[in-house]
Amino acid sequence: MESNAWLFQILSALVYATVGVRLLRMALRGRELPEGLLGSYFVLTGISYAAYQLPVILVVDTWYTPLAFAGRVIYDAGMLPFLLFLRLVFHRGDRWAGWLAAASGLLLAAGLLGGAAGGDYEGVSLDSTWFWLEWTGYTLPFAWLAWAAFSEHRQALRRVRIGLTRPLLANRYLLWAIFGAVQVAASVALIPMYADYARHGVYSAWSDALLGGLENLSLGMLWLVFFTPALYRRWIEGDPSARAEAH
Amino acid sequence: MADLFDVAAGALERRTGLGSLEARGTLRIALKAGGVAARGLSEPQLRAVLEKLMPHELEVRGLRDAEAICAAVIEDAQSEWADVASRRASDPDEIFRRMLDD
Repeated sequence: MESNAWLFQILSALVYATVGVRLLRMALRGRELPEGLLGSYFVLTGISYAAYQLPVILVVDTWYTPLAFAGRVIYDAGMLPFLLFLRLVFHRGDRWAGWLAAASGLLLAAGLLGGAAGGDYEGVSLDSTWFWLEWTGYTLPFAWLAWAAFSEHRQALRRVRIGLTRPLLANRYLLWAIFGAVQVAASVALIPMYADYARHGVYSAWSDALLGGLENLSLGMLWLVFFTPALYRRWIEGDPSARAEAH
Repeated sequence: MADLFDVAAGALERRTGLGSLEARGTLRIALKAGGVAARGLSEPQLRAVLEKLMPHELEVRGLRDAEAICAAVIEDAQSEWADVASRRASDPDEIFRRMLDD
């Protein structure tokens, strides 16, 4: 990781962990499984990001590979509650969704264990089949989120028209869909980044910048979802008195 | 086990004289227009669709007093779906609304 890119990664880790803790508190308060699953995903992702950056911050090169592997294991573990969240919230009762979640989980496990058994602890070897299994395992859930949340957004816009759903709630689905799409784009951006690393032994500035930009866009979506500014809320909800007349 | 969709479709069939297939199809069309899934249909969703979208669907099919028919269907469905209040909505809206209100 070049220049000060680690600062953005630490910022991401803090935001993910904060959002995760908030969701876990909600889950404990109301004994709600969906919040618990999503909260677990965010907390584990935050810890994973921190693990990747710790050797960079402390400037201890010998820690890089062990902590990168730990970060990878924690990140992949976080994808499991995330898959269950998608299955539970968007496709409750759909058998195919259960199979999709299981397949994605198996791809993650196979890629992680196979890659580690072959000596690729950092998970950056593009010429390894295990890398691609794991890459598919952690990219697929975000593509699923983008598709499911966008479909739900379109349905929610119809519900808004008959007063069943608030405009802000319909907008939330769109924000989640964008978050999913940006995460897919970040996964795709890893490919040239790792290819560059294989050739030159360092991550190039442009690939760092691209990934950082996508990460910031993701954080922006989470900020709008979990820390919605009043101005944004008013913009989406419109004039409440006009809406009451319409209904 | 019958769900609220089955109960409402049965009530619609009785109140309109439409065939079973046509009543279910008409209800599905109205639900789709309202962005609501037939599976896991909740009472507030059914009420909103019957009040705001179904009258038009029934008029298109040549039925008179569409609004009165819809009101009767709501009443029938509610009385047959006695435990509706105890059923907790588990659709995505309910889950994301909780996060919104936190």
